[in-house]
Amino acid sequence: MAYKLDKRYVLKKIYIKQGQIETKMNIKEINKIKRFFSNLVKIMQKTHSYADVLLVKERSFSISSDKETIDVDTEEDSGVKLRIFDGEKFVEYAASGFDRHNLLENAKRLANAPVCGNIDLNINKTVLKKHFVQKGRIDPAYVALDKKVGFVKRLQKRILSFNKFITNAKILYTEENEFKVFVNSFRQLSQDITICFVAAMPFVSATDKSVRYTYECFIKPGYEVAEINDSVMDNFLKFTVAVREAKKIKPGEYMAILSPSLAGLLAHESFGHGMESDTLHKGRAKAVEFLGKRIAPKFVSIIDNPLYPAKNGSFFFDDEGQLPKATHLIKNGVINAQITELYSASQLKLNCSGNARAESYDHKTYARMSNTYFKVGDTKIEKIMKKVRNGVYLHNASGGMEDPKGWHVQIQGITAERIKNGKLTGEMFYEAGMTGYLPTILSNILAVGSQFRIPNGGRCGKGHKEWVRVSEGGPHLLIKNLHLS
Amino acid sequence: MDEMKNKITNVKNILEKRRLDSWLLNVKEIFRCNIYATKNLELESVLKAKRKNTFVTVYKYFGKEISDSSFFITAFNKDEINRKIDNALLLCNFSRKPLYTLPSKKDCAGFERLRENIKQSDGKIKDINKAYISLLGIYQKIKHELKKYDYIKANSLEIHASFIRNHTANSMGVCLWEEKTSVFVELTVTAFDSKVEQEFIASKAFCRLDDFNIKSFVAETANIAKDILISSMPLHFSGKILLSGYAVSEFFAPLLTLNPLVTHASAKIKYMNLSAYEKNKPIIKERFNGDKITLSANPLLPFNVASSLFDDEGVASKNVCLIDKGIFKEYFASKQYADYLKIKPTGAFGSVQLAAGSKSLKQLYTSKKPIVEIAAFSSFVPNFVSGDFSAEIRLGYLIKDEKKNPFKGGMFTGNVFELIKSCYFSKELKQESAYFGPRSVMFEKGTIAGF
Repeated sequence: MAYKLDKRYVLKKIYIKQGQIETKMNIKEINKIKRFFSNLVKIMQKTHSYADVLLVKERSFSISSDKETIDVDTEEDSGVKLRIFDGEKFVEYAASGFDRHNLLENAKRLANAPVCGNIDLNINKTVLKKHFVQKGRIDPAYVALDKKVGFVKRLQKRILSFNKFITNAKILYTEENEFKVFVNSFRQLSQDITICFVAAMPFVSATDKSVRYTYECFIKPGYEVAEINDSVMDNFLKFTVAVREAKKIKPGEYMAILSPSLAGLLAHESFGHGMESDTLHKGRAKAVEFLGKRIAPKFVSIIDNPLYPAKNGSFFFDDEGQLPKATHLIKNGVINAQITELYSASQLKLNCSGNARAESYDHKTYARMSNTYFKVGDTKIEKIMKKVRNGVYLHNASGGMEDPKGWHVQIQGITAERIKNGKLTGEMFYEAGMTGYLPTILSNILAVGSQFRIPNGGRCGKGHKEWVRVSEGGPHLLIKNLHLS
Repeated sequence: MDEMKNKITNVKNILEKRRLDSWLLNVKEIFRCNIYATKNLELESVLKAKRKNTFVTVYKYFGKEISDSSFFITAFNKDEINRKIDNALLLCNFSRKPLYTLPSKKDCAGFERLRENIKQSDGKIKDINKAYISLLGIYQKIKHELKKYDYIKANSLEIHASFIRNHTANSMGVCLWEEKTSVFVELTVTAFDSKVEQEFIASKAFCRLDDFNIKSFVAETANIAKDILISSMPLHFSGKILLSGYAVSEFFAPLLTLNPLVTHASAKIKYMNLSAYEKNKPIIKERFNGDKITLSANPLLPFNVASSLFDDEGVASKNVCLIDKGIFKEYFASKQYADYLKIKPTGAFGSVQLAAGSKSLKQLYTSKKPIVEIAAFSSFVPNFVSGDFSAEIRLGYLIKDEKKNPFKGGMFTGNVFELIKSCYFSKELKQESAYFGPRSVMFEKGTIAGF
């Protein structure tokens, strides 16, 4: 007999509660999971000093479109990781889904793993049981589907009709929900985080007959992400059209103003990776020679903050059950503190900063950045501009790569604009690269702006793998003698 | 395996019973065993994992339009699956696009022969417990080899082994299976002397344990790290630039994006009106000065981690010549975009394969004028559409008067399409994951932005 379509779905105004049964799990169900995990921890800790269990459930709903096609999809991934510490190393088992019998069997198997050493882990023994929720002003689960699709189509139309040289545009609207449960013998924590994105990638035919693209991303914890300010979108599209005439920059040293986006990328790629405690523990970070030493002017600070509200890198506890805090990587120009995960923090005798994250339940945990930014300064952008007689404004970039040992900077795909006598000229440069030695770049910072934004959100890798959600930003920076090519 | 096969059969039965217009089922099982070693190669973690992704796409036809919507199955119970199908059918009302058809059995013709001939798995890795023993063996051997180099210390070592089982089936009768193994080794070392330390990250991916030569991997890594240690900063340079080692494979098969030479051969990009290529016409307007590039998408290289016998839609893979001696020949296409462009679908992309060039390695390195050789980038990420790039050099050499002087830093900048106008490929070939082609390429007119 054919299955009958549920009649609710034929109503005109249709509400889909995405993954309703899973995402809106009630506290009773969550506590039941926590009790089961506690039992697993007890089994594993019969023979080992430390054990934990992590459940990860990720769901997303996305609408993506270009000029001709539109796709509407849901994605889902969930699994559980069991972990013991055998005195020398972590021994981990992970499986997708939630099979109680399988988890019980493997907890018993891990309990039988031999004890191999006597390294002491620096466990936080403060007992804590809590459930955290991040949601926005408008819960996307209660916004009609046709409204969301209509928004994407209107945005697509708006971009394509802006200028004849914009030949196509890729639009992506995504709702992501991340649900985690962490249990060890001291903690029973859970978090339910929703984040919504809108990304626009218009393609423009350039004056040299090539095709170029620009990229803009909006992030909010709820459907309010669709409330894009008209002037913001107009400015972005004007920028896109201006890029069609962009030239190659002449390699050399420049007086440069970094936008909040670029400042964040500098903080993240060029400095932040070198302050991850596992990198330092492995002897891979030059920062170890500079701990407690000045590396930048007094008015320069770089912060990593997982608790920054509702950004792409925000969370309430890390994958080792540690409550995070803001960490000053550089404080008033001095290299200050590292971001940590349990193993390397224990080896280095550091407190845990709550920055341990894994790409997924079946990946290892590393010390990872979250929301990374330069601390806001006190110089208005107008004043910063006036300081530049001949220089460039760096609008954005496609990405960068870390070099924690060498402290060499690589940021590529930069779109820049010439500044002359304190004013933007409209002369654009495309696909520039930034390089140089990080301490030199930081010591060349002349001013830090007073406007603060964290505009970016994306995924960060350790090298070319282990992708986690992050964001970066900050104020404008004025830097002299910046090497661009 | 039997339990999973039963679950898949049950899902298919549910999909059949729903009498959907069309459906597609992808099942991917990954059994993983990873070893992580930290400073001095002390073990930090051992991870064993089992991942099962079951992914369904349902289709609805609306006259000359089709719509589709995809979802994952996490709980294999009938009610849950039916609820998700209902959701997806609802979402289909909002995702209409021009009509295309799903692959049928004729798009998989010859698949069984492919499976017989193209081997992709190593029996020693299929069982994660046995794989763990093998990985421990690799770990111990690398530790042992590193002791031979007193100027090197190990910072970290990661060895990841996976056994992957892929299955794709659809309502048109397509039913395809493949099994693959892969091992990824990443070794980070620091070379040091009394004053300075420099790091290098070496990596290798392979299907079979026997394909991994530990001795030469460690030796190569140690030599590169040693050269980085004694390297200087580069000056500006314009002239002949030769890519070798990690750099040549990363240039043509970048890790984080498509090479723009490949992007414009995509049927999807063509359909979006973004492709600069025209069939049977040169890929560049100017004359080639040197070797004309021949580039294929080859998913059928035996024991290559990038190989795959079919794509996610269920089209059996083909070795496709995209560019032949500088002339664009064929798009690589999924069934959807193949239908839109009225061409044949090509299956999975696989590895970038380049034809051998006209000059030997010796000839490429012979020059009266100085040459720069780039052995490794920090990260090569070209603009996938325009071809512009600027990539920091992790290790390069200035070759002058037959002497090789290593340098580190500076940016190799330019445009991929500009560079291939005047280039020579080596006759000698090599194969790595996602790349099979010349060991070196010489660009006649390259630029390094130095200091």
